[in-house]
Amino acid sequence: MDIKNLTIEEASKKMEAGELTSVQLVSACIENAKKDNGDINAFLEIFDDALAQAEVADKMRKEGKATTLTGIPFAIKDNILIHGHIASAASKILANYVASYDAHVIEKLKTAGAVFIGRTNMDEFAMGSSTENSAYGVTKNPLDTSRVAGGSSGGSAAAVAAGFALGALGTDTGGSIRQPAAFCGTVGLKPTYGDVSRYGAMPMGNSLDQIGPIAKTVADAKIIYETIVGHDPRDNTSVPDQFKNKQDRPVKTIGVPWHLIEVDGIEAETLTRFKETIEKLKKEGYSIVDISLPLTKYSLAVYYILMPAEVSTNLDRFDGIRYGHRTKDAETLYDVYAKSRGEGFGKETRRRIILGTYVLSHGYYDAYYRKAVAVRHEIEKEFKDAFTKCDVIAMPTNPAPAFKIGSKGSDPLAMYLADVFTVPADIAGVPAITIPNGTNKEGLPLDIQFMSTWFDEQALFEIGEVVEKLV
Amino acid sequence: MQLADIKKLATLARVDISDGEVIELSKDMDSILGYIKELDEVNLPLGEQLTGDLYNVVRDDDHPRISAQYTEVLLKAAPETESGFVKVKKVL
Repeated sequence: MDIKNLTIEEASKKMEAGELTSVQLVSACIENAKKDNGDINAFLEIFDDALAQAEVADKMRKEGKATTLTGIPFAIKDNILIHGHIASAASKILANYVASYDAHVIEKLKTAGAVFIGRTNMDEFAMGSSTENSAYGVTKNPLDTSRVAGGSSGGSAAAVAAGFALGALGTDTGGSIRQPAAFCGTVGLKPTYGDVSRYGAMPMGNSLDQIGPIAKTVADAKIIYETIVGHDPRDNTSVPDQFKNKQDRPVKTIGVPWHLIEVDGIEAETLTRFKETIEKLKKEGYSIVDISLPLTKYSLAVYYILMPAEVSTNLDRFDGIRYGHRTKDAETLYDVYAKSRGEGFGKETRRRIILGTYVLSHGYYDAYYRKAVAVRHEIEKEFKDAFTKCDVIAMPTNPAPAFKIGSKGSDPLAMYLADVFTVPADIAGVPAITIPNGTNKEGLPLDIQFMSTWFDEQALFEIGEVVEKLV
Repeated sequence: MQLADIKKLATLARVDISDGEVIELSKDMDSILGYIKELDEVNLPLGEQLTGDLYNVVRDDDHPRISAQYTEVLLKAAPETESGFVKVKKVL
């Protein structure tokens, strides 16, 4: 079975027609994973109950209770809790942590009859853009194994691209769904902040985190999104439906912030392809307008203040007392904290904790944190204003295609700059989708990203399906 | 950033860091803070508003679950326990 080219829509139709069972589908994915995962390292664990789940799904279908996702194999990022399974966030500190409950999104997928094949590799606690910060080794890009799959949801994107699963869940704080999805030639959606409940997802930057789908097509991403979306009182940032201003109009105008795109860091082929696709959209009858977002260029600087500040407070919970790794080498209570954390956290995590502690410290708080919050509000206003002039905003997802493993070296700033086009949507809280945009000369996937106004994911699916056909 | 400052931050954050890493971190911090400094170009009043147009959503102060419902599973997650308690080093 050619899983690499099978969509959720097609698989679901085949199962409904009786041409395919979930057991067959899940077996084929596991077979692929057993063959290639040793090299790709997308899965940290393949669940031994996957086939049992598939049998339940097949029974559900026989009984006429199936949804589109019944029996569909999923790969789940390792920071999303599945009851009874390890959830380590690719960190040594949680190496043996077993989830004591299901995340909201997992409950939703279980109700729909989805099958969980395994948990996927990621940058530790979702901090990174390449999965090179995983405590369990890098995830290789299935399309070119000398390159990264991206991050932090690199394992989820690679699992879909490699034919280990038909759909995946990732989390996005600064681009962690869209960047790896794009690097692996797939579709990735970061929903509006507050749209999908984070109950049961390990927090990194609470004011930014969102859970979203990675899939092969826009239609598949939409099916997953519509299954996991919805209000949940257990996440107090979850927005009740009556406050979601749904737009009900076709996409006509596409805003392009050229001043953010035509910058030094963007690779020539990425820019050329982006321009070509915009030109094609123009020929399709879309009106293209140049929009100005003057403060949005500061998004990355704002992000690298707010995110580490939130990281440093969030990761307080890992203290070697209640769960996770505890050092064997402690005399005092202070030692238990400091040594457990020093041993359990990886280098990038330690770096962000130190940075966050600094920007929140007395004397620097105003200069960094308060300033960043103030600029963030201005960026939100800019987006609000921009969406009075256009229905969606288009940008590349990444300034360049997937980079070589190890090429960003030991300079953390070089890695941070990889997020320059994805971070603005997280800062403003708006939804954003990445769509494959052909390949470059070396055959690596290029990408295009669309953002829409708060809770208008529908516009992203609409324009995304148009681009899918055009490219 | 001074090495002593990095050490102080590591102590405050309760993270053990080797001397070699302290040196590396001091360089990293200079580079990252140098980049973040571009925010100085933005002239904005620092408002009182810290959270946006949001309000706190909290659950009712009643009993969300049966008492002791999760005691066993949570104790199982702890690295060291003794007679139904999480075991810690001497606090005082």
